[in-house]
Order: sequence, then structure tokens, then C-alpha cells
Amino acid sequence: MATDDTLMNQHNLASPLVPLSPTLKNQWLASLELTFCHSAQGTQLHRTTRKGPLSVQKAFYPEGRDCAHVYLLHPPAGIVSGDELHLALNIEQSAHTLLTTPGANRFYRARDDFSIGDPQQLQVGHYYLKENAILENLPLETLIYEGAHAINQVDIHMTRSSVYLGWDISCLGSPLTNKPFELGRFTQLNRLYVDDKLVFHDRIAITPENQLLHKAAGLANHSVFATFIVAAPQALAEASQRKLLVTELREKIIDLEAQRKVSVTDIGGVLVIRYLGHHSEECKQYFNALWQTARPACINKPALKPRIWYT
Amino acid sequence: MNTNVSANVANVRDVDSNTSKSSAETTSLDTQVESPMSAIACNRLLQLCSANLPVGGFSFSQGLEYAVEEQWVNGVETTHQWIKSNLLDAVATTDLALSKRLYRSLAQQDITQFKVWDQHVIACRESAELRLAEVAMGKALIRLLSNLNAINTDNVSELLQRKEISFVGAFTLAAYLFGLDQQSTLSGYCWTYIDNQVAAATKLVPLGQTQAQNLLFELTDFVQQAIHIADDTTDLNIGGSLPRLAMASAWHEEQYTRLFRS
Repeated sequence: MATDDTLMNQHNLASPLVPLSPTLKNQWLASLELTFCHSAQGTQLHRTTRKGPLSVQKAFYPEGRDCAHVYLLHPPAGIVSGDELHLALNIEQSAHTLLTTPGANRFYRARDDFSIGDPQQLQVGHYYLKENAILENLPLETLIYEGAHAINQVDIHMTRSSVYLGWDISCLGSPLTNKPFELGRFTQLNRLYVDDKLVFHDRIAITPENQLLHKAAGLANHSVFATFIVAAPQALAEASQRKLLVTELREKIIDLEAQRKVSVTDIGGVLVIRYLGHHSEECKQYFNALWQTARPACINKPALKPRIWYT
Repeated sequence: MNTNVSANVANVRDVDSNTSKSSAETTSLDTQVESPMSAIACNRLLQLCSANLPVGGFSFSQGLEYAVEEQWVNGVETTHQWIKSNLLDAVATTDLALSKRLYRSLAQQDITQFKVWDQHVIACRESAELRLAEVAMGKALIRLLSNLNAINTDNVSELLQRKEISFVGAFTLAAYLFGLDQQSTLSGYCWTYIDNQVAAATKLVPLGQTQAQNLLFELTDFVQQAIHIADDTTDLNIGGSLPRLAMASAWHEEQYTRLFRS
């Protein structure tokens, strides 16, 4: 089994991966690297390199052997100060993986005592898609509690013939006590590289200093924001194809009566769908509906709602 | 007189305004605020930042038109807040932070690195229209640069041939070739941004001419703060997307009546 160092070193070319810091007391350092390969038997989880509490269940195949559905499990179910979660997915040539989670992810309140160590909470996903590889990265929402000090970083490295459909749904504030997010810090960083060229870089940083949560151009007092990336450089190579898909997505948004909560735009070939509102359930419902439209356009397969979302 | 590129490059300027004080004695072209600007540098800066610069800036509202349509911006105070927030939360950590790196690449004659940062600017645009504004204005400024008789572009001809270049990249390149130091480049960029937004607000909100002039005074008070934020921005912290602005810009694509292209 490879150590974390080998896991990190394999991928330090295209992005400055934040190194795992030396282990402190009361700190979970977790990493998980999964490699999916495609053969005559379909897509299989070929290799797993694991450290700490992050894991996956056996892949299963509700829509046939070509697409492996995988649930990411994190038994502690939350990330506290000093925690680092590193997930690396290698989707080899022609493999197709759909990744989701059985429960919401949580960044808890960070400790105030800095002397125990850096209060930062970090989750990093690195997704490497080879030629004709497909990754659907559809996790449930992430809850960022008041007082958290969290970074959620998503780096996607794909080729022109790969397809990436993925979202992140961020909910600010503690859900049960209805505490607003006043002292917390949260950064969502999405970076998309196509053939090593950075084509989309979206960094949303909410801090007590910048007050972005309250600003009209920021979140305008909405506690839930989400970004859904649809990248299929080859399948959607023609501007006319993308225009058609954007039109279909906008019609779906009208059907959902979500015109004031969801936007869609084509940024140089990458479709970016955003939600801004107050309810993660509503956001998931919208994104699921839009995924039903985007999936057939990108990979020519109908969308089947993962069973776990019903439970 | 020709602006000689190789002379510019040989006289490599201190690219970090933080450390400019220590080298103030050795280079006359330094980036200090307090150092008096030569008459020619001042005029070059005014030319680059003029609203008459033919890059089409007047046709882009950068999301403001939709914000006014929705009444998020509906008077002097909300206009002030909107532009200030854009300047400090987005322009500072994106445009200015990247302009510094683009300028440094030019000073080091590192064209490859310039292209990487230039692509980074384009990748940071949060909507189709914001991206369009970036590359359309970039292209127009490059076209202008190629046709300025006094500017020697031999060392950067590769950049002039690019299929796409960001406005931030083209602006930084122009400033460099005009012989401007980095501090002037950054504050000039802020002026261009603020002036353009206030001009758009004047038409859209609408505002009176005197209100607009007062806004220009007030908003430029934040330029130094924006530059400090850019100075403190590390590579990993580049970028400041504004979610509702991004959505406004995406919705603007379908706005029924529009004066602006973004």
C-alpha cells in the first residue's frame, strides 16, 4: 500500500497540492486514492490506496457494467480543526464513474485556541480524467457551521475527450440552531484544467472581513450557494450544441420556476450553473433536474437518480 | 521618440511595490507613490486610461445593467456599495493580483509565464459575458498597440499574435511598453474600472453628472487599499468570484432590453 507521500507526489505536477502537515494531536489526516479502469468487463475499481477514515463501499452497477456507482464514506461525518481530507480519483481511459455521498458533509466550528495548531479545515478533491473518461461527481450538500475555518478545493484535470459533470452545494451556518454565519470562514475553490490548460477558476471566499454573505454582489444574505460544472469539450465542441443545451437547461429552469434562483452560462465551452437561495433540498432538486437534461447531451445516457438520494 | 523596449527591459523595475522603498535610491523608474511622476509618464498613463481609448469599454456594464434592472442598485449609495465591493472583493484579488504577476513576467522577459497568468485571468471570468468583455477589450487594445508607431513591439510580437488575450494582460503589456511603473499600472487599471462603472451607472441608474464626479472621488479613495490587498494575495488565494454578480451577468444574457453587451 502506497503512503500518502507517493499519492501526493504522483500528482504534484499540475497543481500546488497542499501538503499534509505533520500530525498533531486531535487531528484526522485522511486520504483516499481510487483508480478506475475500463475493460471488456466494464468499469472497475482497480486500485484503492487509503489512509485514515475515508473509504468507499464496493462499486455497484445499477445501469450496467460500463458505469461504476460509488459512495464515498467518511465515518466521522464531519471535519474539525486541523483535519485534512484528500481525495484523488483517477478515471482511466474510457472508464465511467459516478461518485456520490450517503450523507451531508460537515465542517464544524473551528477551535478558537490557535496554540493547539492551525484551526484550518481542509478538504481537497483531485480528479484526473484520461481520454474518453467520464466522472460524475454529485455529492450531497456540505454544511459549514458558524465559526468554521474551512476550505473546499476541487481540482479537475481532464482531456478534451473526457466528460466531467460535478457540483458542490455549500450551506453556511448551523442548521439546527439557525445561527448565522458571522465569524466563520469558508472558501470554495474550483479549478478546471483541460489538457493542462486552466479554463475555469472560481474562488468564492466568505470571511468576516469581506462580509460577502451580506453584499448585494456576493450572497445577498442567502445561506446556500452552489455551482454545477458541465464540461464536455469534445461532446459539446460546437457553439451551436452548447447553445441548444443552454436553451434546454433554461427551459427546465422555467418549468421549475427557479428563474430567480438558478442561472446558466457558457464560459468558453464550459457550462456553469449556479444556485443561490436558502434551501439545500431545493437546490438538490433543481440540480438533479438539470442533470437529467445535461447528462444525455454529454454522454448520451439517461440520468438515473442514485438510489441513496431517496433514503 | 521611440519607446525602446530593450531599454525598458534592461532597466528592470522593482515589480513588488512592497519592497520598492529600499531600491528607491538606485532606480528612478521605481513604483513609489510619493515619487514624482515625469510629465511624459503622466501623459502616457492618461492616454492609456482615457475613456477615449478605443477598446469599447463603454459597451460593457459588467453585470451592472442587470443589477439596476432588479433594483439591487437604485441610487448613489447602492452604486457606491456595488462598485466598492467589486473593486475590493473581486478586482483586487483577481485583476490586480494577476496584473502584478503579468508585469513581473514582462520585466523578466518571461513570455511563457505571461501567457500562463493571462490565461488565468480569462479562466477567472464568471460568465459568458464577463469573459466576452475580457477578451474583446483585450483584442481591441492589442490591435491598437500593434498600430502605435512609437511603440516597439518586437520583443513581444508573440503576444500580439495570440488568438485570445485578456484585457488585464493587454493593459499590463501596454502600460509596460508605455514605460509606466507597476504602481501606476495598477492604479491606472483601477481608474479605468471605476470610471467605466460610474459611466455605466450614470446611464443606467441614472445619476447626475455631479453625482458621478462625487462617486469618482469617493471610490478612488479605495484604490490604495485594493492595491494593498493585491500585494497580500498569494498564488493560491488569487481570485474573488462574486456569486450574485456572476448570476446577474448570466441572467443579463436574456434581459429583454439591453444597452450594454455585459
